[in-house]
Amino acid sequence: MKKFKMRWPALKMEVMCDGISENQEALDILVDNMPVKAIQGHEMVGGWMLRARAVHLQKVPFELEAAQMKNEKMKDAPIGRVSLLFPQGGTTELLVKYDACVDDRDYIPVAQVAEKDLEVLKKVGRLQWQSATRTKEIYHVEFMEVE
Amino acid sequence: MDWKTVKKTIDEENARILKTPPEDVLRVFKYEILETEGGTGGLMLGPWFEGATASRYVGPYYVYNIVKLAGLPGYTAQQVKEMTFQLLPKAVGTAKLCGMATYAELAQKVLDCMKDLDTKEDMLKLLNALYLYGSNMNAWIHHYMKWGIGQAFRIPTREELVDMGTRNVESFV
Repeated sequence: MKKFKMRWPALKMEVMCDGISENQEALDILVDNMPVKAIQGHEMVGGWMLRARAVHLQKVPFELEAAQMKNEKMKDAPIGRVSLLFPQGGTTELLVKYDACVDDRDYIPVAQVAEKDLEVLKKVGRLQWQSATRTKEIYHVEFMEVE
Repeated sequence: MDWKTVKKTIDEENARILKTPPEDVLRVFKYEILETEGGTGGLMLGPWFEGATASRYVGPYYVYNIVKLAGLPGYTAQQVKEMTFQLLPKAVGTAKLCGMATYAELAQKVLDCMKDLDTKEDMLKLLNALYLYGSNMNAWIHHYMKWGIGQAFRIPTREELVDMGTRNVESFV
């Protein structure tokens, strides 16, 4: 199963993400585009999720049909779930659930943050929430494949 | 303008604004400057709300869905063109009125080019560039949106609502 790291250089924090059994083709495309960098944001409606709204897929375009992928509602997903939203062509959104969510929209799950890194993930989530609502610090997130 | 030139311009902008906040977003959402004379009664909340929504509709909602459907064999180039002209202009117009000048200009150039394109392949290349641009704008707008205002409008709990209901009569004393 493929693995990748999410790293926030300004925060000096990173988490390991392990591929899951669902949507491996989607994960392959995501990983084939790494290393890739995006502006880190936060979900503002559905609950405690990190949300990168513009992940560039410039090497391998995303061309899977919706019917080829399994969906999951974030409210039902485990803490640490990494999912895609609107993946198409050269762009996708990427969300990571770090605490409770009520979000009952469909997402495309591709990976899971390692159990040992869940506390780090929560710290990043809280700092990003502070950024969104108060400090406006800009955090970039980097995704890189791990062999 | 040649569509490849427009695509190249958008691609270059996409690379630039990954690191640097777009001027449209800084001007409107950070510095609260609106050069269109929009903002009824001199209030910025309207352009923020409408501008953010329209910007999200152009890229992550409309163009995403057009590109997604265009990838299916049953959709013809003419249908892709019609969907684009049906969906985009009003959202682009709203984004422009709300100060998203560069975004609107690039989207309008895409629309102008689409008139002369004949193949789905070329249309998809151009639309995909705009989709990424719209997603970048969406990301930066979400960053600079002054979400802290929301602290003044916290969603009340059920207990607070019941309490408000029982004390309602006091406001008429």
